[in-house]
Parts: sequence; structure tokens; C-alpha cells
Amino acid sequence: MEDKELLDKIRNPETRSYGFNLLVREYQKRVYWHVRKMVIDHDDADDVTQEVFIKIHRYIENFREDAQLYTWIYRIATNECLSFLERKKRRFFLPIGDVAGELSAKLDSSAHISADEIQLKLQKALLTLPDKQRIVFNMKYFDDMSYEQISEITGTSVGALKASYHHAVKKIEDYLSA
Amino acid sequence: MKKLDDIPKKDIFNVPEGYFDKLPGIIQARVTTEQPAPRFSLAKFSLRYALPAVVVVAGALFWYVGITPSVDPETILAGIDTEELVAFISESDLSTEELMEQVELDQTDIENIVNEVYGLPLDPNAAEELIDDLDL
Repeated sequence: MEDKELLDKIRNPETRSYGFNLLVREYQKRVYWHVRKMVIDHDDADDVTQEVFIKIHRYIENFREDAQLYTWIYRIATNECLSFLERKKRRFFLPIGDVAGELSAKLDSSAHISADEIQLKLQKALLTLPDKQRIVFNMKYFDDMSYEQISEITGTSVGALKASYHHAVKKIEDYLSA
Repeated sequence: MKKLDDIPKKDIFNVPEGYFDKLPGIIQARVTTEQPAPRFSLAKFSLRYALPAVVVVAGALFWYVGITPSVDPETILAGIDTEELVAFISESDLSTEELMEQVELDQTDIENIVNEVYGLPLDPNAAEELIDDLDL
């Protein structure tokens, strides 16, 4: 279904619930995996994903359609991830290094992760990146998004994103070679 | 040097069985109890926030300009501490007789003064000593 048709259904009070259900089914996997790659743990990803869709439901009336729907949804998901990680750090008074350590431990222990050694090492390398750099890397490397799409989502310039991604790749390669 | 391009892209995360089948229902149940944020309405914003704000500002201006009801001297004096009044009178050049000329005592005032004097817990000897001290 086209985004416009979806939005029309949601904005019509009679079909709002049905339309929103369609939106969730359309975007749930993209949102979930975007979140999961950041927060690592399934239960945390589940919580954050639900919050993303609740926010979508709350604010979709104010969506101005000056951006594509998926851009708007990804932006909400990105902000929710970053907020979640920031709250995690504050709640436990952990510096970012310790949050990375905690997430790294989840990679080793989680039942919902199956990876060979190099894949695990790659994920641990990613956890050494600052959250914003990591989310940009994920969108470029794993989701194959263009810099223009990432720029729309994050509000960061294409040039800055290119620099960020190349720095991230360098750091990861250094980590993997260590 | 290990290159990123040499590592096959692989999705290492997995989800519990049936997770994505259940998720829409869970979210639907949560949003059913929520009301969506209303569209921004200038008219409603004006009534809810701008109009009361104007009333508050107007009230503050009214007060600031000093349009206050007139206050009579008795009300002004009632607001001043008795000790401050006594200190002022003591330090002034007014004599007791001059002060008494200005005071209009009615019968109630006189009776109150008399009761206060006769109500003082003074024994006769103490009273005589007091009178001597005052050199009356």
C-alpha cells in the first residue's frame, strides 16, 4: 500500500485503527532491526520498538508529509534508540565505556544471538563507536541506505556523514586487526 | 590488516518465535488507551493560552500603575508596628499634653484606660516607689 493511502486511512476516524495496524505491519521489522542493532538485547529492542510506534500513533496527525513516511519513522526510531542508551547510561551512572561493556556482554550471553567469532568481534568493534556514529554506520553498512537518506533521517550533512562513516570503518578495521 | 569488506554481512540477531505476529496486537492494545495529540489549532491555542496571558498582563499593569483604593490614616497606622510608633513618638518633640490635645477619647477609651491602670498587678508599696521614681 502506498504511504498516502496508508495515511488517509489513519487520518479517517472510521479507519484509523485499521490503518495504523497496517502501518505497524508494514514497518515493524525495519524499525525493530534498526533498534535491535543498537540496543543488542531483544527485550530492550521490544520495549523501544513499542515506544516508537506509540509515538508514531501519537504524532501522526502532525506529520506534514514534507518528508517520506519511512524517513519520519526512522527518525523517531533513531531518536528513541539514542534516548534509551542515554537513559541507560544515566540510570546506572555508567560512563559510555561501561554501557558498551554491558552490551558486549549481552552479545556473549544472549540466547537470541547466533554468530561466529568474526561476526561477534565485528559487533564488539561497533560497540566501541559513539552511539551516533554507530547508528550512521548501521544504516550505511547493514541497511544499504544512501548518504542522502541518512542525512534526511539524522539531519546531518552528507559530507559529515561520509567523514563519520569512513572514520568508523577505520576504527573497526583497527579493532579487528588488534 | 583485517578489512571490513572481507567480512560477510550476516544478521546475527534473532527473535523469539512468532514475535512479529504478536507485536501489532500488543501495540494496538497500548495505543487504544491513548489519545492522539490534537492538530495544532491557532484558535484553540489563542483561547487557551494567549487570552489568559493577556488578562494576567493587564492585571499586572493595572496593579503596577498604582490604581489602588484610597487608604485612611487609621488603616496606615494599623499597619505599623506599635513599638515603632512608640519609638517615633518618644523621639519626637511633642509633649504629652500636646499629644493628648490631639487625641479624642470617647467614653469607651477612657474606661479601657482606667481598667488597664486598675488592672496592673501593683502592690501599694511598689506603686509608691514607681511614683517616686517618676517624680510625679
